[in-house]
Amino acid sequence: MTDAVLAVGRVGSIRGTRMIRTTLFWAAVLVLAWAIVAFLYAPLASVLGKAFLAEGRVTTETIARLADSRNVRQALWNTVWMTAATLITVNLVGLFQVVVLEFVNVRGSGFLKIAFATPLVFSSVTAITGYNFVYGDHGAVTELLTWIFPEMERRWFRGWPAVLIAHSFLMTHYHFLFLRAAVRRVDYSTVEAARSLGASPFTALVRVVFPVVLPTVFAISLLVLLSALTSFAAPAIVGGREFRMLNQMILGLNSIRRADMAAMLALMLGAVSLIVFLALRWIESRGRYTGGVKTPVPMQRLDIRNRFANTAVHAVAWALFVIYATPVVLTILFSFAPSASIAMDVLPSRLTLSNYVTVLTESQTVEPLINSAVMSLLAVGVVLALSLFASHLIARYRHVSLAVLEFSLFIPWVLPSSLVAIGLIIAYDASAPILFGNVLLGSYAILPIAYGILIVPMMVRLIGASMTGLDPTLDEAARALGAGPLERFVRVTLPLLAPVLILVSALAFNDLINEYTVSAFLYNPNNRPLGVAIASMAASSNPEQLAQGLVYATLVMGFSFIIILVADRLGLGRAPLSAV
Amino acid sequence: MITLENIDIAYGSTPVLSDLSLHVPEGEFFTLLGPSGCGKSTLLRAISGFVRPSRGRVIIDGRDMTALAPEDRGIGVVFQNYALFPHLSVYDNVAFGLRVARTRKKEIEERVSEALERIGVADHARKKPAELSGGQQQRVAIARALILGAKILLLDEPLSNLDAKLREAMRDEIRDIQQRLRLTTVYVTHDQAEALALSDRVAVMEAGHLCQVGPPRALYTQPATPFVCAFVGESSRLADTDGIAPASFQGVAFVRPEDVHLGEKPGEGWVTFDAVLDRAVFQGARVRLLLRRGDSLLLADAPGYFDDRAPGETVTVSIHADKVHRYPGDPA
Repeated sequence: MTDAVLAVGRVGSIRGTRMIRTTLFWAAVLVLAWAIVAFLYAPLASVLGKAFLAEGRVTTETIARLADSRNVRQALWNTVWMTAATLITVNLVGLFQVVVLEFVNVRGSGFLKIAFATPLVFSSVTAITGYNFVYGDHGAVTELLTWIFPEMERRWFRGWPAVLIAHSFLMTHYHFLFLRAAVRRVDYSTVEAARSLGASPFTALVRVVFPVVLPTVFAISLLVLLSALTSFAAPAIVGGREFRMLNQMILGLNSIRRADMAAMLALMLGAVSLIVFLALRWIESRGRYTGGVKTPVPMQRLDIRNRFANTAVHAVAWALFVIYATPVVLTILFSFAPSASIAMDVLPSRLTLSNYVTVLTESQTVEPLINSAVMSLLAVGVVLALSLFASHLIARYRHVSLAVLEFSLFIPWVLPSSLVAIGLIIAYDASAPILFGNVLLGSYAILPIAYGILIVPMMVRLIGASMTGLDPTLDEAARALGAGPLERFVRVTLPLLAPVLILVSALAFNDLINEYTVSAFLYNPNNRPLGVAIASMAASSNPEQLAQGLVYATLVMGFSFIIILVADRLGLGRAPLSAV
Repeated sequence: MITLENIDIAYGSTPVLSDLSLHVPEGEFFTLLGPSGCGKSTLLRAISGFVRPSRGRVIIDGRDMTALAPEDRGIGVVFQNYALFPHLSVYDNVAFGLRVARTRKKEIEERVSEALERIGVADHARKKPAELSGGQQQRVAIARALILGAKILLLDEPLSNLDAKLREAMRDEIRDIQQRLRLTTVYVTHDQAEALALSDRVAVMEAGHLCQVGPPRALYTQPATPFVCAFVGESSRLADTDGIAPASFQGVAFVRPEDVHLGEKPGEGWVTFDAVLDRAVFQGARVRLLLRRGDSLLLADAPGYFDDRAPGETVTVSIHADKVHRYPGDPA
């Protein structure tokens, strides 16, 4: 063969490869666009339509009906005041924790730190189950208290006090992560400067440290506000009949086929979330205080010289330790207890692995675990692939359509879980052309899809940030060495992103494995997930079922613990607050 | 004014200062000079009260202040990074101490305005510290430290964040303020030029000990230890002391570059020898010569027009034996 023939052959082969590549690229763009329209815009449009349209015309009837409903008004009022109360109590507990961990010397601060970190691994439905197990009617703490005070009401952990207690101690993880990081960034020499000007350590804390971290406190307060506003597991499990909040009302309205009212309430929650999100971005955009300091002095802890104040701080800190540690320790301990000991003893009579054997070997109990693992893996896998592709497009090209793409992928950030769920229910309760004639409601796929929607913003943001941070000359070097786009992506970009991808996937999986709100709205007998199983076991008075719930909770905690350890090493607390 | 008696300070099990005693009289500009990690900042922090000695006493104006908290000592402190409160304006930074002391609003206004006027930042009173230049930040830090009328001012490497030109200007300003207000000042630096230019007396520190305390000229001309000789000013260590020291001399010897003269100098006490020019570095007003004599590298200064020698050429130099600093001991 002559050189000319070889050259023609090579050009032909290059053209063929390029054509395949272009086809694959546009196919991926098409899939991404379809997914965004089908699972973000269509459900949102359906909710808006259901809330504001009746027989083809705009109506405010739904609002009037909501206003007429005594239950809705009560739930709205409960949600408003509970959110306000939660803001106060969580800030009190969270600020105290940060002072104890970062500003003053308290004995055993290492143990306190572990206890205060527990909401990172002991959260959502798992934690509420643990709290209910320990402080509930037959809980170990209640047993102990009624033994000491026989006249005491056994049902003390019920209704709004239980919800407020659960909120107060389970929503401090933002303080633990972000406020501690902010306090550590304060230049300690400003504290010393204040003291050299006559300020006591307490005055320095109030007048120098606190104002500097105030924007972080505001931002954290907004996150707490959002969490309290959309709280579901706590009122559902420990709120009882007498105390209901908005998300429960949305679920209830949906179950009695008042989708229009459910949609309107979900939209209201969404509107508040949007306002909170915008406020958060505004606080972030204002940046933090800097004094032009090139070499800030790291924060150091001070001794409390006043003996009374020192004793009081120690007493409160260790009381908090007991409150935080007890549910976690007892949940783990009783997961190894024989069922006869559960809800009877303050501490297990003996330890056994039988609960674990039962949960992991019996099909009925292992099924929710497998369901959640499979559905979470499916969601993470698909969203990871789409996020990688979308982040690549956003990082590499400049076009108005990509700004729309980026905006679209961040929409779920401002959508409460209940709004996501209601959107899917309303949009796909019947055969839909955009889903090629399929009905999503009642199918196995609805939960993995909903899970995917929940994790899209976090994955796109973290993957996108890492991709933007990659040195572009590495890609150029590979290109200069003859590597094509796919080869460069597989051989250069992917290995460099691998640690972030693994971490982001693990964090997303961790969020989904015991997800409760969306699950409670969308599950069916074919895909009953772990969160729903844990919640139903928490409500059970059968010791066998309670034991299984504790095993689930312990397994989730163990998994979360590993994820948080890895994330902490990679700087979880340094992430922007709006990424949470 | 400031007396330190037998101070011991340790961080954990690591001793930082041991058995250190010192006296700084009223109105003196006293500098702690030494390399990083020698304990000079720790000593300053012991005076200000941020570090408590494990042994010894800190006596200020005749009062034992050892157990007193920093906020109760009434000492002005200027920090290395100025430590201006980032959330407060220039005005509020300077007013901070007065507000903590619950001074009347009217008086605060008068005193702060006067202080800002005096340091030349009155126009920037409403700005945040991040909006000021390094020099302005430093002036604000000094004004803030002195607003309560402190008679003692402690400065921890206050010029280290400034560029060379501004550093020189600020050096003069600090000295001027100190003189005007008759402040007893303790100044920490690792820059010997700064220490020599500013101070009434300098304490040279090494590894938690005071090596020598004295006026800058005495430190320079009569360094008490090889460390002081090497750290304060420039010097060359002489490997061969033939003719410079008695034959029986066992120890180390140093000579300053300005005491190494080019050419032959006749007369008693002069030692003349040949050295090989390694390099000539033009420095404007002078040329720094790097000469080699056996194993010794010798620094010498020549006038700025000295440019007619090439590396490798032989240069004859003379040193007067009286100008050689000799320290008996193990030459190693």
